[in-house]
Amino acid sequence: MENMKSPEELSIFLEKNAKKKGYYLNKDTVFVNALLGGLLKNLDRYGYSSCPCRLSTGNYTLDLDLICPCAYMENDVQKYGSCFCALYVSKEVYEGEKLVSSIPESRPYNKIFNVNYSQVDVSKVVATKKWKCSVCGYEHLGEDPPEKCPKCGASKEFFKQKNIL
Amino acid sequence: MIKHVEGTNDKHSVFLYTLSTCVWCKKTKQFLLDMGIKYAYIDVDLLEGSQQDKVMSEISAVNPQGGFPTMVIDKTETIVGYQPESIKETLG
Repeated sequence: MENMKSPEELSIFLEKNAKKKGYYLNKDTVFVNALLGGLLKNLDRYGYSSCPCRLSTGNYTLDLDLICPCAYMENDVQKYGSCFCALYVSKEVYEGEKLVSSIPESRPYNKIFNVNYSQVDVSKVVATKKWKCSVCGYEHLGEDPPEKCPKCGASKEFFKQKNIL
Repeated sequence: MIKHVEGTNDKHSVFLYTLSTCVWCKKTKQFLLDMGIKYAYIDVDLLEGSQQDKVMSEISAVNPQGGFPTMVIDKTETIVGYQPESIKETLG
């Protein structure tokens, strides 16, 4: 995913990932392409593909729960038939037995309103180790791998340590 | 910052808090446009951080659960999310 520039390329990647994990992507391609455009915009301006339907702070740690697929996706799909954006949907929706609609926000109040959006992320890590995401190839410098890949959302276990040079 | 969209139906004051990347926001804007409703909106993600803080506290006052789009009608009623039926009922 590191060289992904178009919604089409991202869409192929997400489809593969969804299939692997048993998720279903919304079949409405116009809708999905608009969301993918938003994801790519966030990847470009924040450095990670956070939810296009929520406001990111620009601080990786604070926005971790918003990196797509977000921390609320599975529960929301189960409860409402889709995630907050309606990028991911339930099997019923996918098979056309149910329609998608706008759902309530499941993210906790304090993560939305009790944060400072004007802060600057100064958590510069002195690089001692290099980690590479085995799913998408994203590289991370730091003592530990990130909790979740900022590019593709793969969890910590997918990171392998690489030589720093 | 605040953008105004003209429309033939100006019976109510309609203000939207939106994100430039959110598809439910896009659909809500388009729905209002198709209905000829005059409205104003602000894309919160395109603001500077300090302005985002201010706008988020405005949103928390009318929509404590959060979520975009947040629509405020006549400064009293709030509609959260893409809700064509509620919009039609209230503004139609």
